[in-house]
Amino acid sequence: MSLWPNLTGGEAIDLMGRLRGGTGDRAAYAARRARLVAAFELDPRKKGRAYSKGNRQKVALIAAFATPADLYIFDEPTSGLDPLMEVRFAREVARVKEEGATVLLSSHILSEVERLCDRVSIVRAGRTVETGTLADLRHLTRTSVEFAAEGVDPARVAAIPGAADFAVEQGRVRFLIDSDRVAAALPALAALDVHGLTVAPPSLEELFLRHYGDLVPASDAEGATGRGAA
Amino acid sequence: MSAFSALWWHAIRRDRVTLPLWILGTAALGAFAVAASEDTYGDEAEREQVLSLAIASRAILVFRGTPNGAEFAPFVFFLIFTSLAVMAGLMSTFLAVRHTRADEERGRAELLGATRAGRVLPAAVALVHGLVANVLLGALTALGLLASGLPADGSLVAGLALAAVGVAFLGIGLAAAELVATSRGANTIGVVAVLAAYVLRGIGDAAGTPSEDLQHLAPAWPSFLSPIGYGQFTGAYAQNDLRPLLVPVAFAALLVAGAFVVRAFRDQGASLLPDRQGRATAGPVLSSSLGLVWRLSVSTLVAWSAGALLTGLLASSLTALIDQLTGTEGVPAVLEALRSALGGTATIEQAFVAVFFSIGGILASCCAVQIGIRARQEESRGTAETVLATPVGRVRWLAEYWLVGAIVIVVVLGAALLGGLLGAARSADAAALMPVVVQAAVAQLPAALVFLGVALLLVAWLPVAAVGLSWGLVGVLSVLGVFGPLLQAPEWVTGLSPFTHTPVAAGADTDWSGGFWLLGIALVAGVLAVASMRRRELAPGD
Repeated sequence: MSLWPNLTGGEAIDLMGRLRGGTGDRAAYAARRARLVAAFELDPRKKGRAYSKGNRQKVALIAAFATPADLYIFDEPTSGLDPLMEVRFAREVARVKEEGATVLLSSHILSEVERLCDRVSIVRAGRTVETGTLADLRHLTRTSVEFAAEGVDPARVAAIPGAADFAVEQGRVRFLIDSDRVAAALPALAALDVHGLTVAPPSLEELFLRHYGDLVPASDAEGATGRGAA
Repeated sequence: MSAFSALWWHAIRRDRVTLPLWILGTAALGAFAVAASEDTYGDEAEREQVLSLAIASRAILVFRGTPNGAEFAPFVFFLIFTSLAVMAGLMSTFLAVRHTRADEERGRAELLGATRAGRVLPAAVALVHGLVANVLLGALTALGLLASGLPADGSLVAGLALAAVGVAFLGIGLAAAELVATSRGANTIGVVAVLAAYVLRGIGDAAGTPSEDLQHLAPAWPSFLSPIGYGQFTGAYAQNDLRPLLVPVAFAALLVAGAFVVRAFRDQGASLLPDRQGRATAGPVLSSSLGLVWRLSVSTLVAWSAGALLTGLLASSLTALIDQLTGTEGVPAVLEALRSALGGTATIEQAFVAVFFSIGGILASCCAVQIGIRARQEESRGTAETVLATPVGRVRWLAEYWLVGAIVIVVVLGAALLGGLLGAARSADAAALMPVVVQAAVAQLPAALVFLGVALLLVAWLPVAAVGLSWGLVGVLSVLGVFGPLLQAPEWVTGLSPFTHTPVAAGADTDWSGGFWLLGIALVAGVLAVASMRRRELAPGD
């Protein structure tokens, strides 16, 4: 995000808002803007050239949220922001979603996508390779099951219906199972009397790696795109 | 490779085009001046006459130097040295800021600061780089003068004087880079310092004490405040005294020492003068994209207008002086020669005003080009994208730069006109002079509009090269238009410059046809530029 070096952050925010035509109701705009400036802890009197990367990002975010819109498009919105500001950003996204707006968020930070988005599309080399709600996507992939290897007969584990990619590593047995067959496998696990059991649903990261894992230099890869629709 | 030599090599690589242009350009200007003077002032009697005229009218000395005898070599030094010194000064301050504050502002210095180069070494590299550049500048200029047939000892002194002046401004540039937090601010200080040094020694020369025979002059005290003044004190080709050069060099040493102390103790990105706090909310001007262009142009406009006001003031005040002189015995013959050289039927005053206002025209053109290429700078910085993401279209976006550029030209020329009228009002013959001043100012409008149109066309068609090409065009065509006849360039070459076609104010006899042609060209260029934005992709990045 680049700003005009000799305009202050406050001036840049107002200019962008006015150019977009969202400052018709002056009082409402001023209130919204003041609240955002306080929330993002921005000093609006500094010149554009004096801002750090994170502060330039804040100026852009405040300018975006300060005027009402039906569709917000964010491209890597939290790069350069500290975790506290990421939380503030998430709060603002939730607020505009509440007001009925659609938010299109393009991000490589998958935890952010997981937290904010209702629907997710994974874009690879300019094509959407996967799209749906997070629950839909999780369905497509397998859950990982792990427990202590001590006193467990590997042959009986391999016999669990639906289990695949069976492995023993560092004293832990690990296998993958189709997410919709986890419940069916539980009696078998109980019969094995396993200890230290963890059943982890696939994270978005795993979903993502499934689509990108084979492509080592992911030069033209775009990242995950999520939509939070109201 | 040590950190120092690595950084220096890097600095040389970065400047591989810029510095040779400055150095060779300055040396070539010196050599050309000798050749041109040989043709124009080959005769000693003629030179004597010119000197006595210059000393009698005084104000002409502001733009020349300290008269030091009518022999050919010192006469050339009198004509050209101060201009060469301005080149050396600008080269040096820009160099100093480019390699210190500009790097810091762009964040490159931070990367270097994390290596074993540290924070102070890059400034030391800039210092050595600048010193070597000035030594080369002095040496090549001396060689150029020598090759043009001037004596060796005097050429060496002239070269050293030039280098010493450059070194003084290198010190000023390095100090300015510590003083303010932006390269823009530091460069402004540098340019103002160069202009101030030029004007101070100009006043010193104009207010100096002439000798009995009106061939020599002892400058007044303001010259002692100017590095360029000390360069002139050497009396190259006559006295050949190197001692005065110790002053600018010592001055530079002092500034450099101060700059290094500040640099060693301050934080990265900090400066002696703090960055001012601005407004928290935007004023009414920043309500539209047009308002933004205007806002981005105001500081440029103010600076160029101030220069134009001064030029206008000088133009008519000096003309008034000429008026007084025409009554003096012996001088009119020279003035007659000047008049015919300036072109035909015009009276002396008209010719004089026209020449001065062509400088105003160059100022307006520079300002217009600066506004035009700002469009490109906004584009490459990425801020144009922010504006174009709103309902503002590309065509309208560039058209607004055209509009603001045109307004700016009118304002700058208006400032020149105001200065001219103020000066004329004090003259005895105000009624005759004022219409000429108005005509001369209006006559500059078309040429400046041509430069604006061409700059915008370059922005639309050759965005990556637009900034360099636009400045290059203004530089080359200004020199061709103003010095072309002096350098005896062929007519088709001088004809390339819009300034050659600028109408010459001559009262009722003024021929305006050149101006209308220029206006047409300006209009076509501007319309083409704006229209081709419809089909152009945005091209961010350098």
